[in-house]
Amino acid sequence: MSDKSAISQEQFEEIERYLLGEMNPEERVQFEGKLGADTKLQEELLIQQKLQAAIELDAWRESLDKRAKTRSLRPIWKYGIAASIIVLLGFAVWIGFQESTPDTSDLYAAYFYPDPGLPIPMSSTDTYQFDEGMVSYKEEKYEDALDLWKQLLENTPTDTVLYYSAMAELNLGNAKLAAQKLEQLIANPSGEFYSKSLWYRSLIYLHEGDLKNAQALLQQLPTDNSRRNELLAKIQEQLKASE
Amino acid sequence: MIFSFSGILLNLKTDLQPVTKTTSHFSELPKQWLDSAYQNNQNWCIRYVIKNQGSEQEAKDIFQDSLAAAWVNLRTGKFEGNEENFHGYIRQICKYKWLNELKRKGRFTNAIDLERMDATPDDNEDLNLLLDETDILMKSIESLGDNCKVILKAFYYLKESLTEIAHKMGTTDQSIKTIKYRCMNRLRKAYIALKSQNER
Repeated sequence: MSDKSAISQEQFEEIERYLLGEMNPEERVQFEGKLGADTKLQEELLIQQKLQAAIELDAWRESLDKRAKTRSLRPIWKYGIAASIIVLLGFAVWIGFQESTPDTSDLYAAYFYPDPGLPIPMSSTDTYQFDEGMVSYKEEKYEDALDLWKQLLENTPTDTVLYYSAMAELNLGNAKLAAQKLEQLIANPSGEFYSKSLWYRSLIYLHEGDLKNAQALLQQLPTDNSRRNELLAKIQEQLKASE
Repeated sequence: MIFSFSGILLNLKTDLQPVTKTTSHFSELPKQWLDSAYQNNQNWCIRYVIKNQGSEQEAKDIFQDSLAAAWVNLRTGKFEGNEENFHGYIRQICKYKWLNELKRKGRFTNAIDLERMDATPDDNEDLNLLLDETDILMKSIESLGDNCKVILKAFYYLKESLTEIAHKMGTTDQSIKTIKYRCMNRLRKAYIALKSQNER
């Protein structure tokens, strides 16, 4: 049995191209040469062949069942409630960040923590594309996440995908693009990402050196948030010092 | 009475085989080949099992397992032959598996119709391994979420292109490529975990 770590996308695609007959004769000869000398590659090829056979069998059985009408169609479960819980959990994680040691010379750096993202449900039908983007986000592959979410943003935009797209942009260092998205969320005070958006938008203002706007946004956050109070106090100190 | 099992593995290759011309058309048209194997052999296998003390449900299960095992060996290049050979191979596995099942359940008696039987129930390690392997593979599939199943089925079974799948799912080719890779990785991981568990 080969090692248990995941197969790389590059190796997976090379084997797949071979199995699907997509290699040109030259590539094929080269691959077969490599195959003859590499037992791990042989094992991996065999695994991929078996997995493909299993997929074919499973799909065929399913179509046979449907044709025979012996099995009713599986209902497509909605994941609305699960999604709400996930959003709440994500918010709890955000709220639960450790107290930071403030650095008055760079408040942004002291207070900025990347949003950790949402837990991924095991088998979600409705949100699969968002979930796949979240897998990329959590792997810190923010560009992949944005690519996966791009169409969702265009076709079926939600606050969740807008917010995490903003976070992905921010984590890539694209503060302006992140700010544009966050402002759309801030425009809706009843939205579920309103508070988090205010927080990150105010941090972007800090990054840009705009203490007044950062202060104005933080003042809109609930006063029982200790991190908000701490940062606001520091901003006010700096504003006072600069007067 | 001594039975031999020589007929079953005549076409079975033990070395790893690259995809060959002989088997490539199976992979191009899995549905047609599986349908044909089903239509030509299911009734035969069911009759065989019922005639030898089995119930109809047992017979159906035995047939499904036999077809799956034969398919795995066909798709891994370990079985080579034409369609007729393949059908014969399925029937041999059906006999073998049913006899093993009877033995396991303590129902193996002399009354069984073994006139045409050319297999000993417990003398073929390769076939036992293949049946176990097939069972693990099918269990691994259960670990996949619905969206992975939809994408993998569309690509590997229905032979749809990444573009077609992306269009249907309202996303990009690149996204489907990434998701497909991840789904296969999840499946691979589940398979390896189940296999290690089985080997313990």
